[in-house]
Amino acid sequence: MTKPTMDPQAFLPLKPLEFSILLALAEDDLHGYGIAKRIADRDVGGVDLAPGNLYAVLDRLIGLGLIESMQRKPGERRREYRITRFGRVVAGAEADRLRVLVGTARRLEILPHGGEV
Amino acid sequence: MSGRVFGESLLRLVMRLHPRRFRMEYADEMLEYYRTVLRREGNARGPWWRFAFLIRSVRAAAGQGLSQRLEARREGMGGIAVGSSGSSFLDTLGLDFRYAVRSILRRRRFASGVVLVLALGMGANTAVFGVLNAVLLRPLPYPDPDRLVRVYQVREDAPDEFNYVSAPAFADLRDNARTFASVAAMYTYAETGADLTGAGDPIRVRTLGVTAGYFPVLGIGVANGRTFGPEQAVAGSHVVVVSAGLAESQGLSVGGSVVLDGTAAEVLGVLPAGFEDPIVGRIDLLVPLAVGNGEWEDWQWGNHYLTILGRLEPDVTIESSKVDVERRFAAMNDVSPVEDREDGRVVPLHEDVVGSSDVLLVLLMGAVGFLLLIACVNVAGLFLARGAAREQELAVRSALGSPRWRVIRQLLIESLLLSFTGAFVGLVVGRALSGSLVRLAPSELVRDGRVPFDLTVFGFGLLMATAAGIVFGLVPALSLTRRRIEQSLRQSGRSGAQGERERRSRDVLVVAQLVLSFVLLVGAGLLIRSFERLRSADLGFRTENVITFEVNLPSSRYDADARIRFHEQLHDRLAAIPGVRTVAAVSHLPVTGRALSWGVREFLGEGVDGQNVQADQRTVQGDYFTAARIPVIAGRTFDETDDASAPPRVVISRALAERLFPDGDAVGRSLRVIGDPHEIIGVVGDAAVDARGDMIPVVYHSHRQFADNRNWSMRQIVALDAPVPGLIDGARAALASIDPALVLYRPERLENVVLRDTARDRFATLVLSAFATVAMLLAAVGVYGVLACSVSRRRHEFGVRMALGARAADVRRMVVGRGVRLTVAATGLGIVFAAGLSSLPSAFVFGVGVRDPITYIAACILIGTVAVLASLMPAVAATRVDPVSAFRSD
Repeated sequence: MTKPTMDPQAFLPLKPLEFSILLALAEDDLHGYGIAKRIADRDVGGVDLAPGNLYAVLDRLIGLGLIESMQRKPGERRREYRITRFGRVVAGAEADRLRVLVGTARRLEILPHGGEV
Repeated sequence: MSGRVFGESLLRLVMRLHPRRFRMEYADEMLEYYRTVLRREGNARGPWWRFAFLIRSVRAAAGQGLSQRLEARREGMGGIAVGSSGSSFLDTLGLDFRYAVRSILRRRRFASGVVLVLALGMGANTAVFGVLNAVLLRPLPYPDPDRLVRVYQVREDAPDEFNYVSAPAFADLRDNARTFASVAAMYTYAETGADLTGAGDPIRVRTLGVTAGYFPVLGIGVANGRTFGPEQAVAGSHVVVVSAGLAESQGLSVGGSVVLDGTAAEVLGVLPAGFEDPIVGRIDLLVPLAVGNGEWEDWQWGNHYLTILGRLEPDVTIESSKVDVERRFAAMNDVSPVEDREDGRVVPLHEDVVGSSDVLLVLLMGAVGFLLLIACVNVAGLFLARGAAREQELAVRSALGSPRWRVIRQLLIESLLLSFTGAFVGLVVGRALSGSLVRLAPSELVRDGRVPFDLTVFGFGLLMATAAGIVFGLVPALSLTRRRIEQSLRQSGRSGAQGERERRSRDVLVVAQLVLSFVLLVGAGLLIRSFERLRSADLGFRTENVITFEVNLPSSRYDADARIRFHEQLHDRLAAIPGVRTVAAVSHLPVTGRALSWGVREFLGEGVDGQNVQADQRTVQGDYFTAARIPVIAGRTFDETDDASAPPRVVISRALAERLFPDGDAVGRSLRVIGDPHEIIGVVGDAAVDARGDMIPVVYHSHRQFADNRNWSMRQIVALDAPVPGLIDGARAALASIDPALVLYRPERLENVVLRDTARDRFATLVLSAFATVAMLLAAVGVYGVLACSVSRRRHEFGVRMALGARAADVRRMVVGRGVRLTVAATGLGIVFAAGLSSLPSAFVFGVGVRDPITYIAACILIGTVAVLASLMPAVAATRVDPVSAFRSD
């Protein structure tokens, strides 16, 4: 996997699912179901992410060099995925972009509960 | 298959839409993921969620798969579809498809030619198949139609002559046959109808006498009211069930009454709208048919006049019902006074109803199949000719690494696209043609005139288009791609002496078309010849300048004496009309089939009878034999003295005389008819029972003497010297002057009656001739195409020849010569082929052999002439080659 030496800003904005996956992997290395579960736990509850959607995004993120897949363990059908260093940078940049946007929303006083959760 | 396995299989299938690389990488994992989600989440959330998750997964796989493909394409290549060895079958399919569309649109004229030819072939096929589907494949419109059968009676010495059934036999089957849930009898001579007197003028209605079993057999009820029970099926019960149409037009309702032939009858029920009898079709009224019970006169065993329908018990096979019926007839033979042993035949009703249509339709289907084959071969020729012009393009693709299968697939996609377009146009054309076919067709073919467009027809069209596309696409594709690439490139499109093999394959295609057209021509020729024979068949009576019509006398007002008086009065008044030469009447016209077939035998004294012969009974009034110009061979015909007071007398036909008295004089002998001896006073010539000129034994009775046997529905015969304008009006006036309540029914020329019986043959002849003409035109286009193409390729050669002093006639001869050689080869093959297939139209061929030499010679001449004409145009074009320009373009 070639290490991109690009400006992380060029990858923004990330799609919500891409961002969620990066955040899920930022905590642990996970396999497909683990990713979906982690996203669901942080979000609304149950896993209902279709395999086609999940793996298409995983494939794209690998292509962009934001995550990488690990060697399959013997006797395992599943692989774990790991976020790359550059992936963390991009995820951080996306979080920063969102922070600015949320700040704007707060200033405009359109956040429910005044932005306090 | 469990839901889980099914879901996984479906998902696995849809996942093929992902590009190959992605699949290799993730397919297993995705399935594992899918399983894990179902296992961990699915159980808690229930089956509906699991199903929804499957649907979401399938949709995601399809959506992601396709978008990944599109993306790969956008990144991968631009423009022309050059097969890279790494790309999969599916990856490139869409690309080839787009390329094919572009390629077709680039050659619009060629494409429209191909579509036109195919639409012609497929339109004809769709039309005929539509009719075939409507007539042969559509089940009868009654519940459980598979359980409906018809029963015939046969004599054991003539097991193939299916006869109507006698009343005693019907009663026995009804009461004793174990395999039938119910059995019904219908009065066979339904077309006589009855006069219905309502508010205005009396109208003629179609009635059908049926026994109580009719309703349970067909599984129909009445829309309102009730049906006949067994108590109504006795003589003298005045009840009717009316059709919905009649109820509406005449304002009839249940409990009301109608006046039928002068007798009032109660309306018991109204049939469901659109009801048709399986045998006679549309009817207006059902009346109870009294068949009798138990006490049978001897003659009734030999009187076959009932149509028997049965509904089998559930789970009873036709075979076991056949055994059952045979057992019943064996039992009947023990008690029947008829010493000829009789047997029964059980036929599935559907087979019985379509029986007479299927040969015709199969013949037509065969003919249109040929037509489509010709169209395909024709298009294959066009493809081949155009392929030659495209070979550079194909060679470039090959050189750039496109594997042969990709090129073939590309060409196949093009041909399939064209084929489907042709099929679509053909479906539209075929729908219209179906309508015309039905209008032209004899009414027995498509009774209700409806040709539905259903899934079967659509599926047929789809199948046909696919098959055609492969047939005419694959042959040229294989032939074109076989050429060596470098050879094409080196020649760089030069039209040299290349392609001997290709030229040969085009010759083969032309010969194939000519052979197929030849076979169709022979078929059409045979039908035309036999139709001519049919029209000139000797029917044994005159048809020209004879008008016939029917008058039905209500039994309530006319007893036998009144009927005799009426007919004599009518006879005198009709004879008084200027221009009328002879007036007579007969109970059943010639050429309209058999009627009242009774067993008759020579009467040699009480208890001593001769051999039994089935003979049709006819009752005549006036000088019928003179009016119909049926010759008197021996003895005399009826006169005024042959009335009810005289001993029974009959005139017999020559066929009967020859059967009963092969070596003696019939006149003066005695004939036993319905039990009584009848004196034979004369022998007359045979009158044909159908338009083919078939003769059968007939016994003629004098109406004056035989009027009390039944209320004969007499057809009047008015012979004229020349056509008399206003004759029918005159006849109506004459009728009204006797009884204004009577109907003059079905007036027509006797010639038309004959014509109606030939309708089926005329239809087959007409349609097959049309197909043969189209086939010949297509073949001519094929010949023209091949020669024109060859001439344009050999421009250079012709230019050289002309420059070297060849005369125009020589060049012409060269070109036409090739056309002639192809035609001769095709004709030779065609003769062999046609002779091999000649058993197919034998059911339609009348009076000519199926290998009739005149037909074959005519077909040879016709196809030869057309082929030579088709090759003349390219020949003339060849002589117009200007040597200078031919060289310059070198």
